[in-house]
Amino acid sequence: MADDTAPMLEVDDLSVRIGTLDGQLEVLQQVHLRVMPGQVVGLVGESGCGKSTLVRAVLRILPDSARQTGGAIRFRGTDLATLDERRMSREIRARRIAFIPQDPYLALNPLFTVGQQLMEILRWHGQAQGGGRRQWRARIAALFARVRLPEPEAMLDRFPHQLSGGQRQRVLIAAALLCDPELIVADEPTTALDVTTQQQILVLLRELVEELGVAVLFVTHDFGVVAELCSAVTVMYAGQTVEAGPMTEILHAPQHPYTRRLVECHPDRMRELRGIPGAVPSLVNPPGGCRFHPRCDRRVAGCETRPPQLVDVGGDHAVNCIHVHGGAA
Amino acid sequence: MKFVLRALFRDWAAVFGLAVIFLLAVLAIFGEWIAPFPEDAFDVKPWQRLRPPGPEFLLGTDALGRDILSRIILGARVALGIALTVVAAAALIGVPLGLVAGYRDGWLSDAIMRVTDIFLAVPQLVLALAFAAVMAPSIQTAMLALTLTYWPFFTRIVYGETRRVRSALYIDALMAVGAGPARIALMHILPNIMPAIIVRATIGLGVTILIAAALGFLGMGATPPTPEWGLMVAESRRYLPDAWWYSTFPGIAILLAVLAFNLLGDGLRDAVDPRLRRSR
Repeated sequence: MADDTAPMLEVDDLSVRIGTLDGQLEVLQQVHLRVMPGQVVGLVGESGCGKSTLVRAVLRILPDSARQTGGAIRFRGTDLATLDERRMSREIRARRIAFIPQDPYLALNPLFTVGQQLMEILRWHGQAQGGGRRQWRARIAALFARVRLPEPEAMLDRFPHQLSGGQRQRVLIAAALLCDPELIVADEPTTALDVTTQQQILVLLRELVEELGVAVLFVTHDFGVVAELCSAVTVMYAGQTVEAGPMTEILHAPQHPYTRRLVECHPDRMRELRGIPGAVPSLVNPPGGCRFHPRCDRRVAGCETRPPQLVDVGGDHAVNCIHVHGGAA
Repeated sequence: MKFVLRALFRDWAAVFGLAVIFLLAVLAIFGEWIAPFPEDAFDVKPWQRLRPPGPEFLLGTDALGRDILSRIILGARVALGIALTVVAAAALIGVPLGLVAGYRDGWLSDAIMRVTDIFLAVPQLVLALAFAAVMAPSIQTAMLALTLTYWPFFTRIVYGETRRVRSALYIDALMAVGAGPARIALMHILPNIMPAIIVRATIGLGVTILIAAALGFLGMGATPPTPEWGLMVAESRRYLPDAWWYSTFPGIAILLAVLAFNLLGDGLRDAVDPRLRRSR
């Protein structure tokens, strides 16, 4: 099919502004992100750092008030930003890039059965050519069985409020798989679930990834989840990409001071829990240069003026910090 | 749908409302065949004026000798006709405007809502009176005035509800599977806000009947000899307290109709919402 050495999704220098009563907020500033075919990439950062905005920008479902002001989002070489809305809806969304939303309790329409809601996706994408209602139902039931929902046939006629959180999340995963996408974008799919359910969902996702070879962009703020699922990580802070690289390197040899502090924050890596002093800055009037410098313990003169720039340090590892200079070419 | 009906029939107040409305509908459609003296809509029979209720005239007769029961029955069509037309027209104007304003951000949304606010600030009765004063008082004038003052209620409630539903995550999820704005608004948002619209419409039917009757009472709505309940109450004032039946029975008709629509509106709201349904 496609070239497996070329990135499947490449976000390049992306900037997004949102108009609010406080003026224009630059919620994403020159963000970079890359997902290779079949790869599971973790997108990590504190709340409010622009992870969800990035995901929505990729699918072009940003609110009316948001504008992409620069950069490109290339999917299999096509810039999604220049694609017209019709083709985006018909050919990209669900068909090639599927979305697993954050909170399974809120991500299903309460008025329709889950079967009706999945059926609508099939109908909309004309994936059921020739097949009648019965074949569609069978197909959805098969998917339900695959995501290990109990009684898949009966599940079709349940309303969302009759399912548990874990079951709803499985329904949403089934919905994402409905059109055999090449890339699944998952926006914190386990955050709203309790720990044991979270674990089951992660196991399921890993199995599906291995089985189907689908690429996943996995948004989370939990390095434990990253270690379990992802092969590469991109770290964001206040709308900027601060570091990107292979999972083991990021986890064991983080280069950016922010990544280092973030990794240290994870409870099972440290006996003593350490936070990061300060808070994510307001985007109304963000710090200039590197947006992390007011909280950084390695701050030097020049941090507040240095424009964001990811420097390649070799081995697919790139860091956006004044202390890092290009290693291998 | 089956659930909704089952839940509705468990609610005795709603069932009462529904029964009264059903009766009204039957009277409105088959009034001429049900009324004992259908010709009493227009006839004048001075020899039998102001008879008290009795076996011949169950609810008595009025100042022109017309059977009050017959006129109440014939008045059902007038009342329901006005109410249904006004509410349907108001919903037809108000619901789409509210959907557009709620779904979109920006100047169009603001413009729609500010115009709505202006119309909301005009009291229904006053505008209706002004209309009747400028044009000739008639049922049509009253309906026009009521429609012009009632649509903003739909716009406002639909706007607020659309905003609420629109921010739900499943709308994001729908956009992410490629559903367009029209599809999302009509197939997903509209059904979710239907309970609010139905309640508004049902209560609106009651309110409209009430205001139409008030206009008739003030001589600015229906004109004689139309068998209109408010007009009947107005005509009876001069004969109080002696001919108590003359004003009482049309008054009770108004009361029952308005009450029935309000009870049904409440019952429907509880029945249509699947989350409320479980808690009952």
